[in-house]
Amino acid sequence: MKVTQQAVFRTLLFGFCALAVAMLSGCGKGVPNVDEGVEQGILLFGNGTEPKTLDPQRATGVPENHIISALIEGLINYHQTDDNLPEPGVAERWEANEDSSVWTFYLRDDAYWSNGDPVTAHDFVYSYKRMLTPGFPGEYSQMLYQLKNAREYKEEKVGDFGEVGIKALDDKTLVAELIGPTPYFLNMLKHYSWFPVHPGTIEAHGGIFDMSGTWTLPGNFVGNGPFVLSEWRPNQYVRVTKSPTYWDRDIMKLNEIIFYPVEDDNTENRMFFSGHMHITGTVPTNDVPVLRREKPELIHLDNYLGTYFYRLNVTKAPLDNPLVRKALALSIDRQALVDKVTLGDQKPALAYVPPGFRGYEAQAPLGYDPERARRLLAEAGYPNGEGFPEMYLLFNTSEGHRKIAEAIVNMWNKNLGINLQLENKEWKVYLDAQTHLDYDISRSAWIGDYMDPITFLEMFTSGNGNNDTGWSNAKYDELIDGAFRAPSEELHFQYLQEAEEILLEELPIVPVYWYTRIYLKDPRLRNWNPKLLDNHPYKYVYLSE
Amino acid sequence: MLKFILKRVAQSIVALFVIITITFFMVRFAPGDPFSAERKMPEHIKQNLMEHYGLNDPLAVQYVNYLGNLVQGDLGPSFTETRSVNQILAASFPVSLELGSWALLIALGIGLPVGITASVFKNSMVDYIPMSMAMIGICLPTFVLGPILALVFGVWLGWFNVSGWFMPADRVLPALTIGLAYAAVIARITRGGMLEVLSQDFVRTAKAKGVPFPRIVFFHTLKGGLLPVISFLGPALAGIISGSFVVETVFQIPGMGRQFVQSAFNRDYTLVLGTVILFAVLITLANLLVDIIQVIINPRLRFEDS
Repeated sequence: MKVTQQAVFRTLLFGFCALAVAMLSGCGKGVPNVDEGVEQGILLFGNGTEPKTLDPQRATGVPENHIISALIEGLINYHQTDDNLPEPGVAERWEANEDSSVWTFYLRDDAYWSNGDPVTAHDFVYSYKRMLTPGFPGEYSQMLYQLKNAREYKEEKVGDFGEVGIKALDDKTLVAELIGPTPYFLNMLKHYSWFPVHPGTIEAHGGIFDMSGTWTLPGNFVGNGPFVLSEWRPNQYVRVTKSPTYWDRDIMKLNEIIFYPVEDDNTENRMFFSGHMHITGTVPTNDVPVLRREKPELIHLDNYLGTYFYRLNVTKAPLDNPLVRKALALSIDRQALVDKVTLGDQKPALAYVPPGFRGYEAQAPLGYDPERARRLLAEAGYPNGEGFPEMYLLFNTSEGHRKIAEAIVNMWNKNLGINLQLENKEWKVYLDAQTHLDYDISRSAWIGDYMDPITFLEMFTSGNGNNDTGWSNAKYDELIDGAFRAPSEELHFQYLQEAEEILLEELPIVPVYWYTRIYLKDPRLRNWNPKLLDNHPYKYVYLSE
Repeated sequence: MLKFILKRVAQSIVALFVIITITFFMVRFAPGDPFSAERKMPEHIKQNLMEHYGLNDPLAVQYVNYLGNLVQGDLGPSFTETRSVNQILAASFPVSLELGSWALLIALGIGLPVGITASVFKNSMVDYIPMSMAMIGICLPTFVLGPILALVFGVWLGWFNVSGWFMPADRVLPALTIGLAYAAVIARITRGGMLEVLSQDFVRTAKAKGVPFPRIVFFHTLKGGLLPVISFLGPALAGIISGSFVVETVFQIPGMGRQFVQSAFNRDYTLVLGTVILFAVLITLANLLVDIIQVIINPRLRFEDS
């Protein structure tokens, strides 16, 4: 075999040239920048991660929520400025019976799916039936357990869907019968787990149990929201354009939204400052103080419905002793932590439920009191921390969590004389350890789903899948159950308040701070109001000089 | 030659099988599962999902099923995405391949001339300065170089987009980030290889015969001097075209490197396996290619083989 070196190089060179031509011919056009976006009404949106699905009944994450809210509309919409208030969506008006346990919704005549079909009450019944079908893997299906017999149907204790509390009286009248009085039902309905799906589309793409999700792809997706799905380029962007069939399209000023799944906050930051994004998902923590000083018109820090806290494993000594838990909770200087470490104007969590729920009185028993904490620890048998066993503080690997953990361990050491070791684990390993109570203290967080404190308090009932502390309290369970069925709003809040008091007395968790949502926003993006649940109805948002 | 290639292909198939088997069991022994999340799904719903994906079957059954599908070219569904593993890889591999090819072009285009020049004018400024820069290039990790390039040429100068994969110009910064790192290594290896050959007797003879020096360099020494570069390119080639997690994240590129790391974090078993298999095939192919090229330009190896 006689092959010369020149021939080898010639072949390689030719190969490269051919490749280069092939590659360049495959390139598409560019995407608009912020100025073109303002001119043409195209919002460029930093959306965190790639959406896993656009099926509202299977989705769970925040990025998914941002896109789905553009594509589908539920009975009730989020209000422009206040998350506590309802706004008509597909339902034009509604009424409840005396104790708010039966709700009737009157659907608007001009609500259409993007393929031209009218949105009917039967579509909602179909959607809820899909969600509640026993084998259907809707992760949020328990949201629908507020409907009478919904849980029983899902758990196959009731075989006939006719017994579930949802009925279409005619095409435009929907009646929901609930497990008990639910004055906050309208707030629940804003959540995407209550969104309708288009029955014809689902059936045309494999039916209820189809797991491939082909119906959610561009070209197949049929929604009833202000926008329609026009393009989904995985790991690049999702593009939605103004719907020609949406009932309120005349007030809309945006023509398009491009959702960028940018995971790296520094990349997002560069996209913003080079004019390729109107609004970011977050801001690199280290940049926050500088930007607050130098670009206060661009950086926003809005209160957000979330709590950062530590779970305590109450099945293990010495954390089985409430005195020890209280000592830990009282010896954290939360103000110093948010000022010096988290840097994002977070609010010290002196209780568990974040402020902002209308009608719910905030409590604040967890001040900074190292003196009292030391007394409590001594009372528990560890004066000045003597004899306190070795314990680990578990967190999922992240620089931010490490800094907070270091600061808190330091405070405990200074105030109580106890030593804790830090232990970081990769995300899924950390989740596994937390689920199996294989930890002493574990970093945690919870973001509320809807505007009622029960979205925070329900999880610490006995045996709840998200409890993960080993703690249980019969009185607490009773109060939460009572709150679910309370005939009046006052009573509902009263039960919840009592429940939170128990939680803050027993302290299976140590609240640390309440979240803020930190982002950069182009000042030309208008009507983007601070919202506790971070939901911004796109139909009111617009771009203008 | 044919016998040599067939032998290597047979070896590769065995190696692939071992890799698939080890990976299959290792990802499943990792703590956590594809469906665990901070907000836990109800247990019966999780069971439905496990059942649907066949994750409740005994491991051996799952393994046999997987191999059965694999033989038919089906890498299975992804547990976390709407697309199947085949679709995901079909979309992301070409992107990584393209990026890698540009990077390789840059690496060779800069590395080879710099290395050759440095070796010819050794111990002069033309040697010291580029070689010191190459040392810096080797030491500078891509997660530093990438953001610097994006900041300078994207944010400050505005010549390129800071991220994305839409226009031809979007290839420049990420390809440079990967290419420069490899260019530095290639320059140093080229210099070393060339120096070794330049000091050999036949070069002195050629000089004595009055052969012009450029001719000596390009026709007599290059062949031998580049051998170390070619052996380096085998493994490097696979790495360079299979995508880089860091560069793809920094520049927001829909390539395979990001997919691979994310799939491991998500415990997306089938996607991890699919990516590993593709990587393994690439590495095997690249090494095979390099072996063949080496046999072609290094006559000594031909005798060893026969």
